[in-house]
Amino acid sequence: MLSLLAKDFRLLFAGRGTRRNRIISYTITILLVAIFVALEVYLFQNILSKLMVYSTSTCLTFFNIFLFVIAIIMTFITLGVAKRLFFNNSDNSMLMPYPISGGAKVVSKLIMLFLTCYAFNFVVNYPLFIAYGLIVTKGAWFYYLALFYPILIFFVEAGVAFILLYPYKLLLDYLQRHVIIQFIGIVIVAVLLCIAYGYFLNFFISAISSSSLSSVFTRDTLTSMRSVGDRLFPTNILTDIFVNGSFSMILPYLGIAIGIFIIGLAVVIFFYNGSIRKDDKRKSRQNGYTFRQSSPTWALIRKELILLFRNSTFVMTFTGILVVEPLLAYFVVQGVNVIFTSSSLAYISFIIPNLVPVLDTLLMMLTVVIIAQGTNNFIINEDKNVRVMKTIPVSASRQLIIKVSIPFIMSFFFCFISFVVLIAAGLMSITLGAFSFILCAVLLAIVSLVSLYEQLRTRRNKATSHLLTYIYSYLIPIVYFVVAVAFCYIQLNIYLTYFISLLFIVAVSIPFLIRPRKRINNLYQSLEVSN
Amino acid sequence: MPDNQSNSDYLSPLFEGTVPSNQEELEPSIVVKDLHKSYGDKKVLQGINFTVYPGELFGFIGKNGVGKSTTIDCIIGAKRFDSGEISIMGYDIKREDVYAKTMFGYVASEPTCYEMMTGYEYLEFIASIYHVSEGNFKANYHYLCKRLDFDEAELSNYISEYSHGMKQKLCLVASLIHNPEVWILDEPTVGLDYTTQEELKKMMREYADHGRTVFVTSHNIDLLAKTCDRVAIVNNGVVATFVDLKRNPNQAIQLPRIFVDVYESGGNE
Repeated sequence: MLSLLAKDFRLLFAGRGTRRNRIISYTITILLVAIFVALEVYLFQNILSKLMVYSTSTCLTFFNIFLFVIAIIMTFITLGVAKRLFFNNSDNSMLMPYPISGGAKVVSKLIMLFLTCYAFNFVVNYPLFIAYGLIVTKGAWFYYLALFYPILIFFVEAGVAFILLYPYKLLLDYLQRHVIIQFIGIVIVAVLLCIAYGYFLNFFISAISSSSLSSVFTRDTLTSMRSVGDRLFPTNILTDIFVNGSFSMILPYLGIAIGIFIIGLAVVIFFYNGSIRKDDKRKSRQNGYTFRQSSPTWALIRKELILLFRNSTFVMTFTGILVVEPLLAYFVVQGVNVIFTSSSLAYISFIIPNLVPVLDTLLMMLTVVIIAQGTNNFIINEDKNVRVMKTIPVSASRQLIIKVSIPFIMSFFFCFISFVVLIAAGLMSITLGAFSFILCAVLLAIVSLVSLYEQLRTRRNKATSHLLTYIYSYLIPIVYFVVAVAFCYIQLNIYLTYFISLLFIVAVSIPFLIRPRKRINNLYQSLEVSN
Repeated sequence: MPDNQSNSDYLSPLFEGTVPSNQEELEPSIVVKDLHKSYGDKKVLQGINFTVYPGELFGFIGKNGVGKSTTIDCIIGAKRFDSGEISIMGYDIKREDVYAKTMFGYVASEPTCYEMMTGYEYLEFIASIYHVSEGNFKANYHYLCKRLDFDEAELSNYISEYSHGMKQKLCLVASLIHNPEVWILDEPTVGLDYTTQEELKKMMREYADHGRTVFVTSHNIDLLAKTCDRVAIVNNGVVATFVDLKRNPNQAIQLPRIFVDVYESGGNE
């Protein structure tokens, strides 16, 4: 059982790459989670302390709603984790020949799912309980009891996730076969998320920046909030148990929650066993293909497009997000501009003139580069097909130029559109927008080049290091920001600040700009396939 | 190929050509001279030398880890070597790599192809890279699919959905779609069913008989003994011995013993 658990743990969390890279990746993840929790508690506490003006029951309603929203998010996360655990074809086929009972496999997966969900729920929900307890002054018993909240909520979250799991798997399988529908779906979801992000951002900014919440929570809003909050299962019962101490509700709650869990589990076990036994018969499509002869260059371009658009990971992490980059950029820049022009933080803009455009440029740099990184795995994506690359009669430079330029052109185009949107929306002036765009485009080109160098340097059976790519993607923009803020502080002309920043970015990239073609060719020749 | 059909039923431009009379008078197809290659401190190849001629089916055998695949990877340009010379149809693989690579078709021991493509898209990609005309493409892939018993309807499916054997068959089709001068196969029978293995043996023989060169590595000594003209046995990073099965057909039966002797004697024969 322990071996199965260890295997499932590796299945969920083991990353690829060197030990150093994994440590960096885990550190970044922990940092991001810490930032998320800090932000969550800050927002929650800020709003809650203002709601205390109305009544404690209003606070409880808000707490309940907040926990419910998080429970929905957690259910989707549980869905993803359960999919990786239960419907992993390679894992299922690898376990098949071993003398392990189906029950043992399911139990190990359930334990792993429980531990993962408990950890997620604890990290996300427990700080909220602490914040709530501090504001409404609860005793130690409340904090102790709150440790059991993730256990009780798990049954409902996992139960609902289990019921949705098989339809979710079917949907993913369908989308994997229908790339265009997948792309459209992802764009729609991304647009909705952007709109929701914009809505919540505005809501939280006005909630934090105003001294009272009377503009946000009117009497009508509060009444409807209370009536909605009372109906939000399961958090309405759970807050009643944990906050009001209605322990008589525990048994009815467990009855309902375990009932949902058992129904969900039965559905999953049924389809899990089915998926193991299923002989995956494929249906051949109509064979009406006509040969399209093209030049090697076009053939390579088409291959790259297939690699980009037929990989669901790319569609989700790059192409889907890329399309909504202008919208995302708009909401991010607008939110930051509001904070630094009309909130309590506006005084900083008086101390540091031109802080807002410099900060906007930083955000745009990070947005553009982070999205572009989703597809900068030029050589890694080829995996074993490096052998194909190295045996086809096409020069290294032609192959690599095509490989790098397609994602670069796409990123460049949507970066340009994003700036057009920002300028059209009046969030940036034309000249500042143009300077900012040049900085972003240059950084994008350099990060692509650095990423290519790094991947070509990978030697036989060794994991690729991404250290330099990370440095150029994150550290350089941050250094630019610090330097630019210093220049703004001493009231240097903003255009001169941008120009010096551009020189700085080019200067730190010089090691990669000396005879790039020859060096890249050499690295490509030394790139070895693994047997 | 089914027993009730003769080879001529399947004849495509691929398997047409003149049968060479005296091989040694011809320009060699593959020349490997004093090939050295190391992985760090480990010297894998320590002076491999051999020449393969048009019309020859050349076998390259050895124990696991003696450098067979490394030699092939150096020949096809997938790995850089420390010293030595390799040329294919007169083109140096280092200096004239693009020309050299147009001359051969290659099949890896593990099927290597873009699994996100359909079988047809992959063949189209390879055909476009090698400038194969539409007519030749159609003729070749119909012919090859038929010979390898590959259901053409499967070509519309994604390669990721194929079994290991189907992927290997697709790679075999792709390696010949451009009608190369040299056919290089690294453990080609892995994952293939018995009938396809037999058919592949026939195809290799026919390909060589029509004036092309076939270079093959395999652990299946029986397969090489029955089909090859010459076999090189590799040990300690060099060719320990050549066995000329064309001149001495009787040695085909003795090939397994010769193989064992090479390794038992611990050095070159």
